[in-house]
Amino acid sequence: MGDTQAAPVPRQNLAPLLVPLVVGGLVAVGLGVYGRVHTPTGYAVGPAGFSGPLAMKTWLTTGAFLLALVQVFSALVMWGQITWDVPWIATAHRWSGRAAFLLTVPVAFHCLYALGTQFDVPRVMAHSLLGCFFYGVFVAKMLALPRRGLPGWTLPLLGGLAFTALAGLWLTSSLWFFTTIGVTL
Amino acid sequence: MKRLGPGSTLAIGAAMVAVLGTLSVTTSPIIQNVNAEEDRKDREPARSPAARATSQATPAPKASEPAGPTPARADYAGRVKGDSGLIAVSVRNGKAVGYFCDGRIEAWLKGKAAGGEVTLSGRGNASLVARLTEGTGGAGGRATGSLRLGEKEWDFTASTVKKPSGLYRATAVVRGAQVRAGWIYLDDGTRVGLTLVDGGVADVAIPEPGENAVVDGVRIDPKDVDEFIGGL
Repeated sequence: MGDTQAAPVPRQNLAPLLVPLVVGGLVAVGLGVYGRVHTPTGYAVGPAGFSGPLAMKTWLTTGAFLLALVQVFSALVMWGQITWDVPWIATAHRWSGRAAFLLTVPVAFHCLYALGTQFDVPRVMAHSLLGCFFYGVFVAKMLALPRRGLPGWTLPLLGGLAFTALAGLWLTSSLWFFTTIGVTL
Repeated sequence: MKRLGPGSTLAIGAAMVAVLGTLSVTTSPIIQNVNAEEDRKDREPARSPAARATSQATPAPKASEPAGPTPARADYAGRVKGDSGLIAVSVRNGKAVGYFCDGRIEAWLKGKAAGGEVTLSGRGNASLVARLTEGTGGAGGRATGSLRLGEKEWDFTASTVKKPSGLYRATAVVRGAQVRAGWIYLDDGTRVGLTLVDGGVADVAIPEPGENAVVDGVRIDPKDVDEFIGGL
């Protein structure tokens, strides 16, 4: 078996992952610590046009989650898991991801600035932890993207974790809002 | 044309945070800096060892004022001991409102919050005094005190609540009649409220939190504390 030419040894390829993972970890921990130690203001500026901040966050998160589904689909096409010959799929992946991320920014800002991380209720605790984790993974993935020589599983793993975290965030916030308060703008 | 890289995406996100942060700080209705200066003398000795340890261990983020016993903004709600009524107390920048209701009688109170205490009064010889304590660890803050209505007095402990729990008030004129209503929602789903039409108790269902109430076929919009505290 592998006695022909020197195949790349996976162990050697882990080094480029170090910086993205460390920075991503620092981001996740930093957000959690910030949300814990600062006094929540109960007030934050956000996009207008909704009945309240909860409704704003619910709908932006729902939009981000729908775009995240586009992310998974376009990634499967890009990695050849789904055969679909469209040249613009990578562009669609980049821009849907960018839009999804930007939709989450006002949401996370309101959560962290106005409310902070809270651990009293299981739903809120899961949401707080997932939120910090999501941005850590996202930063790690953004920093990993331009690097060469990464293990082949890096991007699918980080992307999959980001999607999983976002799905969890949607379930613990938007779905709760829709079922508890109602589907209102 | 060079396409935007992942670094640009992060930079745009960071720029959005900076803009939102700047707008939030500059447009904040909170005058807490004034209060914070006044309270600082009372606050330092009152801070618990745990709170002090936390602030020493994590000196990094200084975005906002440190937590003190008189929050610039807080909503408390809980049960009144020895009565089936609920009590809600909300603090906004030194102003405070309170509402007691057991479904048959009610009392609106207003006053101020300073030095870790709220002192409220209302019509009919109603008064309320409560001490505000910060949450430690995973727990939220509490308002502990007593409520006096005429000759009667009850103790209560109310915990911080988050929207949609908390206090709501509605005033409206429906078919020429003056309508005034108040509702309290607890996190565990307990709710109480009373609707007065021209001063008399009306049989009006308590709306779901955040939804409109219907009085005599007319929808009225419950206001949260931020919306009604200025006009109370």
